[in-house]
Amino acid sequence: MGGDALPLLVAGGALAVDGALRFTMLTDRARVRAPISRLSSLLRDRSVQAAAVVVVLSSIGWSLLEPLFPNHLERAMGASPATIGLLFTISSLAYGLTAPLVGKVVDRFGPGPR
Amino acid sequence: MTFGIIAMAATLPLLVVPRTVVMAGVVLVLVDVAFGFLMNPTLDELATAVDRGHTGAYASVYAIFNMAYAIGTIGTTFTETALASLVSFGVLLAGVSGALILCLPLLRVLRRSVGGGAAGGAAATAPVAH
Repeated sequence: MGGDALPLLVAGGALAVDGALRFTMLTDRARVRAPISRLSSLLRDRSVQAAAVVVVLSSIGWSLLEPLFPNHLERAMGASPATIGLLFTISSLAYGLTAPLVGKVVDRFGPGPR
Repeated sequence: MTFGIIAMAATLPLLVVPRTVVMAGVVLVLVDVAFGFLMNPTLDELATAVDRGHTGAYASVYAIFNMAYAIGTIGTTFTETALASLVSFGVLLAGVSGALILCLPLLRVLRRSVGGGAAGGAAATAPVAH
C-alpha cells in the first residue's frame, strides 16, 4: 500500500512539521560558547566515557536487530512484511509508553551504583 | 545503567527463542523496554557531567552521544556483513550480550573514579562560560 516512497514521504512530512513547531514554539535560551577544547575536556570526563561505551554497545545491539531480525522472522515464522512492520510499531509504542516510567525510575534510583 | 545493561544482555538472545510471531512481539517489547533502561541513564549521566563543569555545553555533550551511537552503527554494519553469513543470528545476539556483560566492570571503574570526588574528570575543572 502506497509503495516504497510512502514511508519516506511520511517521515519527511513529520520532520517538516517538527521543524515548523520548533521554529515557532521553542523559546531561545542564552547561548553558550562551546569551543572544541570544551568538547575534548568533556571527552576526558570518566562519566562521559562510561556513557559513551554504553551508547556504543546499545547502538550495536539495535543496529544488529533492525536488519537481521525481520529476516529471522521471515525465515523462522514466515512473517509477512506487514506483520514485521506491525511488530516493530508495537515495540516502539511500548518503548514510548514506558519511557516516562523509565525516567521516573532512573531519577529515583540514579543511573547506577558507583 | 547497570540494570539496563543486564536487562538488555538478558533479553537480546531471547529474540531467537519464540516460534510464533506473537511471542516474538512480546520479546521485542521486552528488548525495547530494556533499551530504554539502557539509554535513558546515559542522558542523565551526560547532563550531570555538564552540570558538574557548569559549562552549559549540553549540545556538545549530546554530540558525543551521537558520535558514540554512530560508531556503534558503523561497527555493526561492518561486522554484520562480514559475520552474518558465517554465524547465526542467535550467535551474533549472544556475542553482543556477552560484550555488554564484559563491559560492566569497565563501567564500574570509570564511574567510580567520578564518584570518588576526584574532581569528576576534566569537565569538572572546565571554566564557566557565562
